[in-house]
Amino acid sequence: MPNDCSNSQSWDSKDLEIIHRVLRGDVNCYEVLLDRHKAHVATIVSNHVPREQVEEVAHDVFVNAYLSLATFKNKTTFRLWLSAIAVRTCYNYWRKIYRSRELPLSSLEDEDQDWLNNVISDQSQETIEEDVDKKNAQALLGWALDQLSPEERMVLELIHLEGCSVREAAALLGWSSANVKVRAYRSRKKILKILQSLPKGHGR
Amino acid sequence: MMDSFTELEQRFYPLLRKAYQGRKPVPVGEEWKRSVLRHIRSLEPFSGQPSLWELFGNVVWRFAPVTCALILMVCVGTASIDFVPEYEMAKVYLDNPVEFSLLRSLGI
Repeated sequence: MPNDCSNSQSWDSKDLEIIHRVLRGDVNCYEVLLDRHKAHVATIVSNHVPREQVEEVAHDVFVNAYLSLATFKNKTTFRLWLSAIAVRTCYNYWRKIYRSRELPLSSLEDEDQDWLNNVISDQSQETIEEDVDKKNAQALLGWALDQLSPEERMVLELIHLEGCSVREAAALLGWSSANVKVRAYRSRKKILKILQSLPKGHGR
Repeated sequence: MMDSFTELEQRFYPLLRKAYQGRKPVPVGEEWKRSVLRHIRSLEPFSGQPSLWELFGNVVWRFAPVTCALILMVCVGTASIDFVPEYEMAKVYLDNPVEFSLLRSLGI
């Protein structure tokens, strides 16, 4: 039931107005922020966590954002601020998983490994591009990312797969640029090493 | 088989990137929205004033650089005057073994 919270012009100023109202105790206004940004948050979260966990992590993102709302400074847009919370919540999700190993790591089926062997064998780049089988590629990606630490995983996804700059990734993760740079370099090397060693029979 | 990392990288990264970008966002529904709002309403409302703990945290961190500088100065000072507490205590004790008292040795 979005109420009279929705009656000003630009999104940013409207967000700010709603935030002030929520901070003054009008919790129902938070629904407007939720409606406006839920698709954006779901997109970010879907990129970083398994599909079946997206709803739960997105739920945590909005609860964390609500709890930190008083710290929101008008230096950036609410959307950007929320994006950083979403990325950090995904990172925390992976940290928790790696610590407790609640979920089994994704495994690479024989079919995926055969596909990988074809890719790695001496085919021309064009043939490979044509042969891209989404399912196999995604299975390989999921498997390879599971071999990385949460830090390496997040940096690799943000920088090498999404194409964020070091600065953007550092802002989203709340780390220093130097830290992100070092981790990006290491994760890139590590994932290639993992993929290189796979055809010798390390599929799981 | 490919040997060099660069060749491997050129072959794999476009594939991985394609796979990554092919991930479809999971839509979040009305039931999900209701559960988030239910959770938020169950939390304590904002008091409007920062808590005492938050105020304390804000003040304490402002002193962090000064504290670090002081610790550094004390370390450098201690190293340069060659002060070893054990030797000093032993010296005080040996000088006055009968009426030795820690408080008196500190001049209290």
